[in-house]
Amino acid sequence: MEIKVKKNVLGKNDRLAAEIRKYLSEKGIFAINLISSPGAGKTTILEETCARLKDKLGIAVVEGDITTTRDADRIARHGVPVHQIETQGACHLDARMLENALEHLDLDKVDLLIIENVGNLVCPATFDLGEDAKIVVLSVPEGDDKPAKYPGIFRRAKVLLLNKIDLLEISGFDKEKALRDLAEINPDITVFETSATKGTGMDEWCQWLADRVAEKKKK
Amino acid sequence: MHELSIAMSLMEIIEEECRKNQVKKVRKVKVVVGEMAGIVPDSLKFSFEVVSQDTVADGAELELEVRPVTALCQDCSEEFVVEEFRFRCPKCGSRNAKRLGGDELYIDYIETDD
Repeated sequence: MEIKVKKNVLGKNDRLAAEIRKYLSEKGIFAINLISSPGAGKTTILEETCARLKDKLGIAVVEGDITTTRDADRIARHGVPVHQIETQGACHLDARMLENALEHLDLDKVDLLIIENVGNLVCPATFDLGEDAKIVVLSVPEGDDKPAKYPGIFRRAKVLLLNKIDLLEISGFDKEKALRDLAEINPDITVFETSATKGTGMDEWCQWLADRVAEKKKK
Repeated sequence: MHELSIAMSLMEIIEEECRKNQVKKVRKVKVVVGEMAGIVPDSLKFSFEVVSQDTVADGAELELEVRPVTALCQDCSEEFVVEEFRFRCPKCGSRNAKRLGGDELYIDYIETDD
C-alpha cells in the first residue's frame, strides 16, 4: 500500500514559529535571530548593543548555548532581562525551545527581542524561530570564503555584521572577494563592518535596529 | 548534525500516518529535499536508521529526491536553476531573481507491507 503524505517535515516547528511571530507582532516586538560560528563575537556584539540601546528601548535576550550560562551572565551584567536555553547537545535552537524560554521573560515592556543562537553556521539556518530577521555575524579571521561555503545562512539573513574588522590587514581577509560572493548569493543583504571590542560600526548597527523597532511599532 | 532532529520529526509523522492507516510495517519512505533545505542526505539517512530502530519503520528504505534551487528572473522572466546559490540570471545577468523552489523538505509518500 502507498500512503500519500505530502507533509512538511518541519511543519510542527514552522507552525509554532508562525504562532510566535504572531504573538510578538501583537506585542509590537521586533525580534532578531543572531547566528554565527563559535567565537565570531556574537556575545560581545550583544553586550555592546545592549549598552547602547538599553536606555532607549526595552530589550530582552534569549541565549542559546549547548551548555554553561556564561553568555547569559555576561548579558545580565548590563541589567537586561535574559533567559538562558541550554540545548544539552543540540546544535541549534528550535521554535519549541524559544516558546519555553519566552515564558520566563516579562515581554510587556520589551521592544526588541534578541535571540542568540548556538554557535553554528549550518543548523540554525533551517529552523525558523518566528523572528523578523536573521542576522549573521562573520568575523574576519574565519576567512573570506565563508559566504560561498555556507550560502544557506547568508541567503536567509537580512544583515551581515562583518566583525573584527580591525583585524582585516593581519588576517589576509579579501573583503572585496567576500562581498562579491555575498552579492551573488543575497543582493539584498545589508552589511555593517564592525569591531565590537573597538566600537567600530556599532552606532550604525544600533541605528538600524532602532529604525526597525520603530517601524514595527507603527504597524 | 541537525539531521537527527529532522529524522525525529520524520519519524513522528510516519508513526502518526501509520496509526491513522493502521499500518504495522513500513517498507519505504520517500522524502523530497531541496538543495537549500540545508540537509546532508547521507547524514539524514544515517540518522533515520538510528531513530527508526524498533519502530514501524525499522529497516525501511529512505529514498531522498534532491530538488535543485530554481529562480525566476524579475527582469526578463527567465526561469533558471541556481548553481551554488548564485542568484544571477544566466540570460540577462540580472541579480533581481525570485527564488521558486529548492527549500522543500516534505514526506511525499510511505510504502507499506500491508
